[in-house]
Amino acid sequence: MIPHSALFNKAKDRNYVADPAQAPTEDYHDIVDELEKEGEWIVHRVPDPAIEVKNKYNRTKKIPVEKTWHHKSCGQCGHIPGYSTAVFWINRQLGLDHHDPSDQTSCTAWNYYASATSNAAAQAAVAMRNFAAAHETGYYPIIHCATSFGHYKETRQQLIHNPELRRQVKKILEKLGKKLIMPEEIVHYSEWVHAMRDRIAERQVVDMSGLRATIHPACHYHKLIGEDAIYAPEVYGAQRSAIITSLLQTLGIDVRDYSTWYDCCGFGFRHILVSRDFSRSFAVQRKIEVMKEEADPDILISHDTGCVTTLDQSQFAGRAHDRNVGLPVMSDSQLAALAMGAHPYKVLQLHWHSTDNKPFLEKLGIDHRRAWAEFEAVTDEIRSGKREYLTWEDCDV
Amino acid sequence: MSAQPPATPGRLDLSGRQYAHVDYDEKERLFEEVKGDLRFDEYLYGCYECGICVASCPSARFYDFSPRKIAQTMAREDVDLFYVFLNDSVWDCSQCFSCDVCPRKNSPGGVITVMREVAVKNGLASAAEALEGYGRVVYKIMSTGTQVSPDMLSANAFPDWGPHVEEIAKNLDVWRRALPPETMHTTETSWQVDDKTIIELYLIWHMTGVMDMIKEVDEGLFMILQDVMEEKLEDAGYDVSFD
Amino acid sequence: MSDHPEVRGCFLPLHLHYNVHENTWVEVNDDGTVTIGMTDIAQNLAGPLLHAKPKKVGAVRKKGKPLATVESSKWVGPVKSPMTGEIVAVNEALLSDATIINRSPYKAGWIVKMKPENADTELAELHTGQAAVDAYKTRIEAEDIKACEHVEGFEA
Repeated sequence: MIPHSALFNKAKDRNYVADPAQAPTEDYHDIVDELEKEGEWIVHRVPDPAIEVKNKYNRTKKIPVEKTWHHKSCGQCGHIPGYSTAVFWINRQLGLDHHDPSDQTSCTAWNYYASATSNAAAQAAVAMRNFAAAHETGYYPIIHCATSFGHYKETRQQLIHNPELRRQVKKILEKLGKKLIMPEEIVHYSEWVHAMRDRIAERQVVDMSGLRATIHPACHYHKLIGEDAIYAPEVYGAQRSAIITSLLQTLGIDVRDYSTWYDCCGFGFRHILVSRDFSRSFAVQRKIEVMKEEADPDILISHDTGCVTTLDQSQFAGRAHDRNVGLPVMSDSQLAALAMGAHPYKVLQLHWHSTDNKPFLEKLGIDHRRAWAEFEAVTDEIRSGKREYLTWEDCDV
Repeated sequence: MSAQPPATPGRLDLSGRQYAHVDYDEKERLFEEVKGDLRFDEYLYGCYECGICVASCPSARFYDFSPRKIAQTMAREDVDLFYVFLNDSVWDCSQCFSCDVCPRKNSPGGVITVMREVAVKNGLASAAEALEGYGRVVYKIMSTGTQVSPDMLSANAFPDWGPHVEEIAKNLDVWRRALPPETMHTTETSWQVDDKTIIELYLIWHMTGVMDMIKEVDEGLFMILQDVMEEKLEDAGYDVSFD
Repeated sequence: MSDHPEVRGCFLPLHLHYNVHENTWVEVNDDGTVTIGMTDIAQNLAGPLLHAKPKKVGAVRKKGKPLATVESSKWVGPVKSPMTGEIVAVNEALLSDATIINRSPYKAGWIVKMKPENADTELAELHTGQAAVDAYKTRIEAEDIKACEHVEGFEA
């Protein structure tokens, strides 16, 4: 029976701490280790140094600091390349050993979720092939896209519970000359950003204390196999996932709430291509307009390929309907890099984005005209043949 | 869910009259195929019919779509209604898995994933229709190893994303060279994928029957994929046929 | 323009042989080879082409098998061979500019030249002249195919 006095407790006085022993789901750590002991697979251990964080039911999750193998995202690298560039750039500025592989395929989850032109065995084989490739290099896989991340968590669950599937995948990998390797943790890059937020903030050179931001968490990050997502008591009292928010708060940004925080962005997979009114209606009316109305943010930060794409690109069509749009969108990695002094065009590659982000840059005191001129000086040299590429050295601070 | 209103445009017709001509045995065969999938038992334990999934579902707000009705239908084993959803409803799902909020720990989105695969595997016309306009993406991922590519950004393909798309297309080659990561100086793929890696991917498609699924639903796509893959596999010394 | 009648704005030169269903055309050359390409309708349905990749010279292709893969920003598909034979020449220009097919589907946009194995039987299966125009009229109306749009510099 709830005591009368409880009605007067304020939310911030309640200190809810989950007890892992009372968790409603199994602990994948135990089963992954058990299956290794039975000889079913080899576990790729998170290398030291690792940062310990907590997931939903207060279980410990290990996040690697360096020696990371970057499992890239199709949509990021293909359409918003500043997103992945920022992740690599931060690693480089922090002097961390990391690897950008060409022996990597897409997770192919679009093939699975959008067109259903795949099946559980194919998806598991693709995932395990990538993990085996990472293991061969000695670097630990870190996943860039939230859908890849969610999908790989699902795949892990399917492999844990289906010996027949494990057998089938193992046979396929043998034919490719590979072993069956299960990573100790499946890590999303935004979890790494969360774990490293203090080190990122140490190198902050752009004052962001005047900024108001809203965040959007990817469905596939915190709803799909939701127990393996990061939670922290100092962020939302561990009632919502800590990713993105923790970084922004550490950078001094005012993170504002809005009533549709939990809603999907409307990406929808095949919808973004063949049923677009769904995607843009949802993005504009359930997310952007609500954020603008209730939180009046300067910037919207998300941590997934599809989310950044949908929320950003949907706003243009929204203007034709006279909707309340015009909120620039970027990833946590791009914002973190910007805070550390990264060039808005050479590193953040903001010219690939849709919604106007110049007012946002101006608010931070960044001279985007000069920055663009610097970038164009490079592209002019590429055009004239004076140089082949923009290099990492060109981007260091 | 007893008496249905007459068919209205934009509304899902749950009467089943549009599929009255299909043999019950055929519908049941497809139903059993969904139920027999290795993932099914973990996706559907039994439906409370509470509708919490609908409350969280983005597609339910836009389409005449209900994850509850689909989960409920599968749990009640209503074969006729299953067939209606299989053809007329499953492609509206945005696969966000917000419905995993289910208090019974079902995954209506997961059930739908399996239903879609069964629709594709069996060459249903509704599946082929749903995938029209998606062919290039499937071609891209199956043959090159990345799902999309920079050269897909054109005003012709994305007129609704804004004028920057035309700028990108005009400057694509140069702007891709103006990216620091060495693997990303590509235009036809999202990043540079090794030849050896692509071969491994082809072998996975071959060994898991994915090419057979594609053949059922898009013969033209299957043909060009078969061509590309068999040639590359042959060059690498593999004797593999997709026929 | 009388040798190039059109249906819904889509041109169909009378001297060519067409596979109406697959939207390919065949031109019989004096030396016994045939030239093969995509029709105006096909280029219009595909939209501005990004890539056109023909098979290699020397490749033997059965009727119905892909001669080339064409890709626009929203569509990818095979150009299915209307005849059986060995490819003896390939339009290399397409490798650097696939939009030639959009601009000149019947002339500069030819895809391959082939030495046909069963020229007589297979040509007889195709439509030519007014019969082709009529067959296309039927198909275009039945499938409600959209009217053809042409890029600047188009030649029929």
